[in-house]
Amino acid sequence: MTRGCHISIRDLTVTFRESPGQETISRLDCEIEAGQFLGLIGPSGCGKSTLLRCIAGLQPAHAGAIQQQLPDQAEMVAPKLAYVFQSPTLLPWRSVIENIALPLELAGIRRTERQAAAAAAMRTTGLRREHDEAKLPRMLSGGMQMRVSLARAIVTQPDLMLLDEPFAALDDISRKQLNTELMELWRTAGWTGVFVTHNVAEAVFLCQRIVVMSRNPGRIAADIAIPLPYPRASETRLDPEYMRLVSQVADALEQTMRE
Amino acid sequence: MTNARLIRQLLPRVIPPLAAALLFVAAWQFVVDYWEIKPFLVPPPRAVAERLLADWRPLTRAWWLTAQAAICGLCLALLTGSIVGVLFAQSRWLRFAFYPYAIFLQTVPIVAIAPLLILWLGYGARGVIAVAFVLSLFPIIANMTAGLLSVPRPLLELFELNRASRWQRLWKLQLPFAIPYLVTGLKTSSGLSVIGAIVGDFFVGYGGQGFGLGYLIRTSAEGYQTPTLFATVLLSTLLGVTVFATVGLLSEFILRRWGHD
Repeated sequence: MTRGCHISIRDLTVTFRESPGQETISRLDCEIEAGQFLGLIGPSGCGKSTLLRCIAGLQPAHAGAIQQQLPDQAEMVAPKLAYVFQSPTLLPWRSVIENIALPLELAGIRRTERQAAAAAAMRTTGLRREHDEAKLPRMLSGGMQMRVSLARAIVTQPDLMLLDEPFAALDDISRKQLNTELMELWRTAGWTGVFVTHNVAEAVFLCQRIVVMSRNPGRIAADIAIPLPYPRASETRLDPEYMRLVSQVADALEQTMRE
Repeated sequence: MTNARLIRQLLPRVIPPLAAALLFVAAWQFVVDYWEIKPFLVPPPRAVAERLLADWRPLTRAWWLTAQAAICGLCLALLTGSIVGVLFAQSRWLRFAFYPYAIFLQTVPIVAIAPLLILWLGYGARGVIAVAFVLSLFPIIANMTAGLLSVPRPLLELFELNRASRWQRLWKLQLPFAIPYLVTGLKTSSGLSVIGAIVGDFFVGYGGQGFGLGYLIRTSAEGYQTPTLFATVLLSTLLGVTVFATVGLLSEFILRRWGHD
């Protein structure tokens, strides 16, 4: 069980070298509580993926600071971070279980230990060990590949999970199924989650809070709490409160497109 | 795979080229007979076959010697080219500084450099292997470098996020990713290595150690022994096809894991 880390973003400004005068993200402030599941939504080019990459340390900021802190930690221990990409980004020559164990292998964990952890991660993400572990990624469907990608993300027991439109390429049924599974993963593990998506219904279903970003430059346009109780299930999608929240977020999103 | 299926798959790949070859030989015999072409210009297929049968012992020995030189050159090129590719992929400055000169290997007229190599390395197998090596080196360097540098950004970022060392990134990501590229380079080089071995042998032979196909091509051309020349060319082609097909089979086996089936 991890506790999730607190993220504090102060005055963040990002400019790309290709367009020096233009700020992709401009003076953005945001606090994300430990263990919170936050959805990041906005029109294309608003910098939501850039913000995620900044939190991950993949994108340098022009100005401002991002701090990540674990609760009850006097000394600075770097929180463990996992990142789920838009595509499954699996190594095609490695079997499913070798792909899942990769982060542990890179950290120098012993083989037996990492095999055990990978097997546990497979179980948690609904992959059947005896059935799938030896398969190569190309033998799996898109949804199953994404499951492997999720299993690889949770195998290190991260404190912070960053997800960049992970289900965008999936069909609706797989997407809904994986939404429910992701929610369960979060509820049992307790990491802090930042989930970038284009899909309003998906964001409302999953998250406790949704930040809507506007573009040119990327700023926070709306910050909406989603007080629906967990566990959320397919019935949640029929709940009038859910529908109201979906339309509230959609309105906020539309507003940013009009600007 | 069952035998019946194997046969059904192989037949369409074997029968048509065999039929084409038979047709070609028949047309050749007809042309030679009809226009009464002199045998030293175009020998009839029967004369070539007779030469092959009569001289099969020295011919096969020459074939084998050239094959060995080609394979040695190719293996050396594979080893050297892979190492150079890794160095090029590791350092941008190294690549910028030396890649243009690697292209030199591709464009240099081999007939000019072969006598030089022989001069430096002496007559015999070493010189012949060196020519085969030089000719087959560039495609391996080029493909290896390209493969190591073509890893998609998300995969590199995955390694970066997991704090992989430079060595881990090379060993666990770039090298396996580059294998299909390397195999493509190896296929191109396999044909070139045979040409290299023949050209090398054409200029030097193996001194007292016997002779290869190149030497046979030269001496039979100089002596107007056209049937021997034809037989040698046929064997050279056969050697090229054999090396290429072997590398092709090997690559198919290797690439199965990479999803190129």
